[in-house]
Formats: sequence, structure tokens, C-alpha cells
Amino acid sequence: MNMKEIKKIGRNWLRRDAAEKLRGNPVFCADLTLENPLTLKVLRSTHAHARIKRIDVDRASRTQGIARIFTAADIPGKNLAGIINKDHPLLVPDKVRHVGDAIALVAAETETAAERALQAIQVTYEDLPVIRDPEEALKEDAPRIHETGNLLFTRKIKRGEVERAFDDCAVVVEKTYRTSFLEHAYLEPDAGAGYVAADGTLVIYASTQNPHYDHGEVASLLGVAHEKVRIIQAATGGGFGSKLDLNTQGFIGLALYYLGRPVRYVYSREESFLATAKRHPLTITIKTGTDSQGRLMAMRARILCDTGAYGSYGIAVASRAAVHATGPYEVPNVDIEALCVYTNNPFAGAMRGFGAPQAAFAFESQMDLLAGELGISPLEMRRQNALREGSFTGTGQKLTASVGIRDCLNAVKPFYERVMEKWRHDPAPTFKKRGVGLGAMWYGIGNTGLQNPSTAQIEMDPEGSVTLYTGCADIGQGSTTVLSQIAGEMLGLSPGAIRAVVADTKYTTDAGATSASRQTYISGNAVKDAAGKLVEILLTEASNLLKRPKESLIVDSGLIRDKNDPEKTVPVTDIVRRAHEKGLSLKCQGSFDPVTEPLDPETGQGVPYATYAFACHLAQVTVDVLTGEVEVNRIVAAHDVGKAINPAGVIGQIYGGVAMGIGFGLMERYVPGRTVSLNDYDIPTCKDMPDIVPIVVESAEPTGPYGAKGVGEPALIPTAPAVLNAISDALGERIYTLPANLERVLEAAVAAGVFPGSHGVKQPA
Amino acid sequence: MEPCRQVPVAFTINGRAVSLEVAADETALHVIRDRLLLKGTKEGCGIGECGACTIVVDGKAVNACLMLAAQLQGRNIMTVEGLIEKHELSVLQKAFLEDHAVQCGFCTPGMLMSSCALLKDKPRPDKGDIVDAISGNLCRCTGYQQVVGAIQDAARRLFGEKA
Amino acid sequence: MMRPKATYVRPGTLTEAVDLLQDLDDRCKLLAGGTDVATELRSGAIRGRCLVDLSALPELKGIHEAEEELVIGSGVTLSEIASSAGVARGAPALAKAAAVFGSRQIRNMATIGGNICRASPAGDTLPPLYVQDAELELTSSSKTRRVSIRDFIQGPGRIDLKAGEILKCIRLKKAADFTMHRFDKIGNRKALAVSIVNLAGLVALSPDGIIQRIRLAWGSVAPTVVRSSRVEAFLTGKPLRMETLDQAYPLVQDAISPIDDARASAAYRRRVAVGLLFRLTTQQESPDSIMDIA
Repeated sequence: MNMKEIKKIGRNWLRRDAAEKLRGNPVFCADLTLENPLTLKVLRSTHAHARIKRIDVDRASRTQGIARIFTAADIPGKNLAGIINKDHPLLVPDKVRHVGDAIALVAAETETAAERALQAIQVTYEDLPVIRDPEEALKEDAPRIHETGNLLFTRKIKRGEVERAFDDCAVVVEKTYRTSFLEHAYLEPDAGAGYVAADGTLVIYASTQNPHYDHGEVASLLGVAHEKVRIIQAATGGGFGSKLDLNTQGFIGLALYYLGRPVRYVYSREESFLATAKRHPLTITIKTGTDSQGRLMAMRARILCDTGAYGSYGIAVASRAAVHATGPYEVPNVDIEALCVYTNNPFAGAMRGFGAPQAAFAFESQMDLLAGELGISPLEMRRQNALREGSFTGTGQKLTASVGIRDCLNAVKPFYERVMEKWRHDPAPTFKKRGVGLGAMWYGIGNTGLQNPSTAQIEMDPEGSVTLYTGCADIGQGSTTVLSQIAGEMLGLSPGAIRAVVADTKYTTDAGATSASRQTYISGNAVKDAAGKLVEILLTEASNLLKRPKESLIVDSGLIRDKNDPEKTVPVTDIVRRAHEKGLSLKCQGSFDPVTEPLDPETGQGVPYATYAFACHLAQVTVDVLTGEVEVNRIVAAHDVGKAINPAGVIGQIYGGVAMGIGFGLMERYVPGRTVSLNDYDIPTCKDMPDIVPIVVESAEPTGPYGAKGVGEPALIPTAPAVLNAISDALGERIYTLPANLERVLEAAVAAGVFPGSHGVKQPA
Repeated sequence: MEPCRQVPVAFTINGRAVSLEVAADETALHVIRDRLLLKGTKEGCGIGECGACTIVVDGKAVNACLMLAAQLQGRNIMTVEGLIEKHELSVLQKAFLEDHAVQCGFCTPGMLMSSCALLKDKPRPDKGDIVDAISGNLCRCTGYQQVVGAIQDAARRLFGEKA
Repeated sequence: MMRPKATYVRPGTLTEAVDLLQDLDDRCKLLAGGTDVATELRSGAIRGRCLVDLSALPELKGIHEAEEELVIGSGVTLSEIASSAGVARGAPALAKAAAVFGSRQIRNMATIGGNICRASPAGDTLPPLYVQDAELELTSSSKTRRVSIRDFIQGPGRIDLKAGEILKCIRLKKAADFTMHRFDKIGNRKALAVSIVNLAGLVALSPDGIIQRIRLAWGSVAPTVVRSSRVEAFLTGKPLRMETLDQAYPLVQDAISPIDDARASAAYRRRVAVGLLFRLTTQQESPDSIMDIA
């Protein structure tokens, strides 16, 4: 298609769901009105690792207003869930593995009654040794948290001759980096609701990122046929990975199955903190070497991922951390091993970036350390090692197109040079130090070396109106708008004129998870495929009618016309009527599955992703050496997204990613057993935000819809490394553990000798 | 005057007079959402740390989760539902829409109420005023930039360029 | 098991309120703005108490400025304090503390009386009140008494409020004869933050930079706000320079007794307590403009 004809793509379209949210309409699960609903609540373990000797619900069942109390024995189907490995019981049968494990489900007439019943349930625990440290969990004599052992998964990536390459390196740097558990802290606490339809279907509304996964999982837990369950994604107030797990859906299904009455379950913020996934804390020991010119020659990394009590997305996190550990650079010799390990910590799952943000902190710190040793600028260090078309990655994948890392580095370059020339060296206020840092990243779109297809349907009714059916959950990132733009572009219609049926398992087919920054690329292609098939039918009919070659016809604003002869038109509705008369179906199915090759279990060689997004952030920070406060003054954020379908949406993702990156870099830390709610888990407020200069780089991906890749997770990844490198630049002392909170920054200032006065060097008694 | 478990309260909400009895320990948020069924006001934390439940009471933004229902007595309350003007989005809401200030939308009602109170108090706010006014409203999606832009826009549309 | 249910009462005048308190047993819980009480109800920290709502009492409202004194009603909100011209003149450090308290929404409800009676070691309004030797006026049905804030606050959450008493107002001698009025707060983020360390400072400087009088009060570094006569005496008569403040380092360390908690370590608090003292040698900061950054 001629680029000039493209009108819906690359323009700022208003978000389709925004108006009703602005009105305050009841669109979220907690807002839904149900007929005489029961309230659900779960009794959660107060022990981190214990056998359950007895659960006594007798007294609790007799308390006023209790419909029923469920335990594991009541689960009719398979009491194990998990998207990658099934190890997570809905209600634990015999053993708890972390504080917060679900033991019993109460269905009550009121919230108060449910709470009273929870207090009346008596659980007899027999404590088992608690393992908090994944290194401990790996020891041979460590108590087993799951019967299969504590090592859940290993991802190895081996390429070239690492040992020999290190021998030849001019500079080698080896360091260990650590990150913390993080809470997603989406604004909407997890929630669900449901009722039993007249035909007996269990209808479940959920705040979710993956309705079709929920669908299969609930059916499996209940041991019922798929048709007996319908999942409808309600408006979802952010997810960031945590709403990929089954949170309330299984409990709602269980209560509906037995009780048949409408039910609702809305987590309090405290329960959301206690019971849902966290970001994996990673310990990354990484050794990187270059030749005398600064060319990366070898990397060895050992990555330890604490997945806590259950697997959730842990395997994907370990795999992705390993694949991404080289950064967006050519490293000919690699030896990477990532271990995913069970502990009795809260379970860790998907969180925006799946291990890539943690890995980026490590590899981007290494880049600056190496640049420092070599005496070359951090920007040049990155430029000369950046991947390009024709490069091979650590998994042996040859990149053939859309490798925009250099474009991102070049986009940041003028800003970098300007601030290094002036701002960085202008006198800072007293007791303040200025620093500038870079953070680059790459991010594979979609699941790692696995099939992850999406499907969609487009239907045109006899009046020529178009309906898009997609299973893709819009969790606030704006996928419904983007998919409507793609359909609109194909069909010559305003995106707003396309009716969208979204994420309802009764009417839509599987689009896969809203995760891995995959929906624009994968579901976008599926929608484009479906719309293309519909256009094909319309043009074939029009070609017959107009006696014009199909190639010269286009669909635009309800008309089919000849590009070369604007007078020659026919209304789409005429064609639709003809098609219906001929018995042609105008509901077209589209699909897309990116081409990947599984990674070899021993060497990790393969094609994990069909395409990659790239980015580079520049951070300017001012560090207060008296207190450890870090003011992030500005972030310049260049992102290669392939093609920005909805630029305002892309920029919104970048802004939001920067905010989350600042939280990850400077303040966020979930401490198991201590962090309870938003009063002890700080995410950035508006006052903590820097000026942000978003730069959209479009290195078109040939297999992407209109060249698009993804941006959701990439937006977050470079910020923390850039900020950490800037702090290091400011102080002359590096921080190896995230978050770089007040305490760690001040310690670094003291270690660097920049805390003023005569008491700077020694700790006071 | 005796302490009571059920407290009669009368107040106006979005221009409508309401009288009802509330429990002594009930929050204003509970009354608004579960008694008056105005679901636009959200509960994000219940402890005043997120701002999703922000309402405007006598012209000032407050956290409905930190206010006892009994304290509603005699007050003039506005929630997000009260922003609509003749079934249309208000200028402030339109600015949020057009400036892409809504992502997941859960913080949005609270953001709107904080900015509504700001614009009533200070029709020509500078950026610092806006940042201060919404720094008690957490947002995990937008990074706040487009929200600040929308409020600046709304102020311009309502009250003209900053003097 | 029946749990006692909460009750609520809202007296309309101070007289009504103190009469009511005389009749109620110690199960009553006073609330002014209500922001703390609402979270305590949610957490279950208070249940089944009689909630006595003081927010309707006109006698607790208003800021009165006299020649040498500022009288702030205990029911005045932190927003009102932050925007009061009288407070800006007579107690600028308090105005600064009120302006960075919690969030706008909380400042619109929370009162200074509530913040004092909460007696949190990290309470933001407390250090500014300590440096101005605030006196609190307490009233009951039988008598009215005045007590200094240092005597009123006895420990975390512990105050010298006798049964039947209400904190009516706060009296401050205006601090007009000081040249510097500082309040600095260190938190994990810039809004909605709990102070990890804070410092209120009043300094009267001679034209040649000599400290003529100085008052310093640290928050969140001990069970109660710390004022140290030794530190203040040591600094008086000396030039306000790094060398002088550096010499005070050991004295500050002696004066404070911070703990490790979820927000920071004792070691961090010890160092920052001095860091904020060093900051007195600088002008109050103004952030870089966008032009400066680019």
C-alpha cells in the first residue's frame, strides 16, 4: 500500500474507553451491580512454610450470614493452576508455602459476616523450615518447597569460546547486581464478580490481562466443559503483569459452581499486596570483557531468580533475563545461566519486562564500568557495540531488519553532547552533584521461543457496519484503539465507527496474553489479516460489478472506488448486499503467530523472538550529598517502536514507563512480611517526575502491522539503568543494589568522600 | 446530645439533597459508593495514600476514605458524576480525553476532582500549582505528564491564557 | 461474640464538648480532621469507641495574630496554616512544614491539633512548634491550663492530655527576630511521604554572619522531637560556616537516639541529622528551570 493513502495509522486517536471512565461510569468489577450478591473472602496463611494438620470450619460455618465455606476438598476439578507450570493450588490442600497462601474461601451475605467467619476458622499448622534465600534453597539438604525440588528451571545460553575470549580481553569487569521484590501497584486492586446465566453458564467478570487463559483455568479447576464458563474482562485498572495470574477468578468460579448466586470479590489493597505476584528479585553476577578498542568480546553471567512459593511466570522471567543479558550489543562469546528457584517468599510472576529490567541494570552498569576502564565515553562505548542488521545475538539469531538501537543512540546523542558540554560541568548548587547517565535496552516482542498466536475476527453487517472481535484485553494501554485503527485503515473507516467486542470469551477467540509487549505486533497483525480478507471479498465483488481490476480499487469511507478514476465508485453497502445474496460470509478470521525457534535446552541457541524493540534513555540527575536525595531533572527517552500506530499512546507508554523506572531505580522495594499497603510502598508521585523528552524512532519491522513492534515494557527498562549511571557519574561511586534509595545513595556519597565535613569517612559511633 | 451508633446526616451531593442514617464508623466513601451507588469514586487503598477516592467537599479536595460519613453533615459534596454538564463532558473532562490523560482510568475520577478543586481555587494555575494539587493522586500508567497537560489545557480553555 | 459497636457524637460548642467528655469514660476517641481515626478504624486499631467529633467547634477554629503572639486553633487545617499570612509572618517554618505535609487532600482535612495529639516521632508540624516553644492551651469542664509542647508530648503516641480535656489552641511567640526560618524534610519521595528525618531551624545572624541565637529541632531521630541546648549553646556566637557546624557533629550525635525502622536505618538518620544542619549554610533551594537543564 502506498504510504500516502494511510490515514488512520500514525495519527493520534482518542482512546475509545476514555469517555465512560471520565464520566465515572461503573465499568470496573467493583462497580458492577449484582442482584443480591454474596461477598467472598479468603483465609490466608499466616505461616510461611507449614503443613496444615487441620482446618476447622465448623464454628465459622455456623456464624450468621455464611452461605458456605470452601476448602481444597471442595474443588471439583484439578486444584492446580499456573500459566507455564501448574504448581499453584487455588486452595492449598495440605501445605502452605508462603504467608498469604489461600486456605479457605468464605461466601457470606455481607463483608462483616465474611470477616467474622474468617476469624472463626481454626487452622492447625505444623511449621516447616522457612527458606527465604534462593542460594539456600539450592543447597542439596534444603527442605523441598515443592516435591519436584527447589530448582524450577534453568536457562543456559552458550555461544563461542568464553574462557579463551576472556584470556584475550584487554579489560574485564566482574560485578554482582541485586534487585528487590516489587509490587505492581496498579491503581485498581484485583476484583471479580459473577453470576450463573439462565443456561447454567458461569459468567465471570474479571480484572484481567488474559481472559482466555482464565477461561481454561477456571474450567479445569471446576472440571467442567469450556462452554460452561464465560469470562468477560471488565475494565481493568492496570495490570503490569500481575493480572496475568488467576487472582479472584477461580474463587468466583468455585462459589458460582456450588451456590449459583451472584458473587463478588474485591481485594482490599492489603490483600492485593499480600496475595498477588511480585517482581522477581534477581542476583546477577556478570563478567564482561572487551578488547583494547572497547569491543565486547565475552560475557559470562549467572542469574538467580527468586520466584518465591510458586512458578507463575518465573520460567519466562529467567529465560528472558538470560536472553537479554547481553544488552543490545554484539557479544560473540557468551556463557549465561539463569536459575529460577522456589523459596517461601511471596510468589513472583510477570512484571513489566519479565527480568529484562533487572538484566538491563546489570549490563548497562557494566557498559559504563568498561567505558570508564577504557577511557571512552559511555555513548561511544554503546554506539560501537550496538547491534545492527546482520548482527548475531547471544542465541545465534541473525538480525535482518528493524534494528533501531543505533537510531536511538543517535537520537539521544545531541542531547548527551549538549548536557555534557554545559549542564554537567556548570557549578551545581552547594552540596549537590550533577550526573549524566545513559541506559540502553533491547526487548524481544512476544513469548520467548514459543508459539504465541493471536486471532481476531472482522464482521461486516448488511448495513456495512463493521465489528471487530478480539480477545485482546485492554488494560489501559490502549490496544482496543490501536486495533480499531488498524481495522479502520484497512477498511477505510474511522476507527471510532468500528464496533469493538473485546475480551469476552463467548464472542471472541484467543488473542493470547496482554503481556510481553505483544498485542500491537501480534494481535495487530491478526486484525490486519482478518480485515484484509474482508477487503479481498469486497474488492472481488466490486471488481466484478465495476469491471475494473481489483488492484486499482480501494475501500474508503463507505465507498469502493477506482484509484485512477474517482468517478467510478460503488457504495460498500451495495457490495455487502450482493455478497449476502450470494451467501458469502462477511465475517473473516485473522491470525498471526510470530516466527520463532525454540531455544536449545543446553546451548540456548535459537530464535526466541521474531522482532525486537530498542531504546536508549539519557538521565540527568542532581544528587544531594547531605541526604542522598536524587532529583531526576530530565529523561530523554528514544524508543524504536517500528511504527507508532497511535503516537499519543506510544508517548503515554513512555511517560508511564519512565515513572515506573524511576520507582524501580530509586524508591520501590517490597519487603516480605513487612510491606503491607501503599503507606509503606512508595511509588512516584507527580512531584517526583522529571521533565521527559520522548523521541519516537521508527525503524519499520517488515513483519509488523504497518511496521509496528511494541513499547509497553521497553518504556520502563532503560530508565533505572540511566538513572543509576547518572548517580554514579555524579558521585564517582557506583550502587550495585536496587533501589538506590536515600540510604544507599548517601552511603555511596560517604564512600566517595563527598559527604562534607570531617566526619564523612567514618560511621558515627 | 448523646453518642449514637446510627447518625442522621443531611448533605447535598452533586446538587441533590440527601438525608440518611449512617453508622458511626462508616466512611464517606462507603456511603457514596455503596449507599448512594455513585461508583465513579474509587477505592484504591482505603488509607489516604492513593487519591482514587478524592471528592470535593465545600470546594476542597479530600480523601473520601479518610472522612467519616457522619462528617458529611451539612456539607456540599461533589463527585465525578457531578462534573457532567447537560449530559456532556465538562471542559475539564474533554481536556483529559483530548490530551490522552486517561489510560486505565482508575485514578481518573480522583484526578478530575483534585483538578476541579484546584481550578475553582486558582483559575490560572502554574505548573507547580498543578503538580502540587495532584501529587496526592497516584497514577501508575501515565507518568502524570499528559494529566498535567490536560489540566493546563482546561485552565486555558476555561479562563484564558495565564496572566 | 458481639463486638462493641462504635458510636459517634458531634458537639456544637466547646462547652458542650467538655461537658460531654466529663460524662464519657475513657473509651472515647477525639477526632478533629478524622484522617488518623479513619485509618485506625480500618486497621482495627480502634473499635467500639465513642468517636467525639470536634470538627464543628467554632472555638477551635481560626488563626489570631497579636503583636507578639500567634494563636492557632487546634482545629485549623494544615492547608489553612500553609496559606495563612499570619503564620507566614509569625512562624514561617511551621508554614513550610504544613505545606509539605502528606498530600493536598490530607492537608485539607488534617488539623494541627490532630498532628500534635498523634505525637508521632515523625510528625511534621512538631519541630517548628518546638523551636518556637509553643504553648498548648488545654481546656476541660473544670479548668484551663497551659503546657509547653515539650512537656505535653511524652513519647510516641503518648501525650499529657487528661481525661475530659481538649486541646484548644496553640500559642506561639512570633519568631520575627530571627533571620532564617527553615524546615527541611527528608522522605522517600516528594509528596505523600513520611519524614525519615526533619529539621526545623531558626537562626538570628549578625550582619557579619555570626550566630546570635539559634534554635534547632529534629524530628524522627528519637522517640520525641529533639532540641539540644548543648548544640544551640555551642553554636551561639560562632560564625554560620561549615567548620562550625562540623564541630557540632558529636554533640548532635549525643543528642539524638534514632532507631532502625522500615524507612531507614539509625545510621542514616544520624548522618542526615547533621546533613540537614550543614544545609543551613546554603540558601533555600530553588529547583533548576527547564532552560537550565537543557
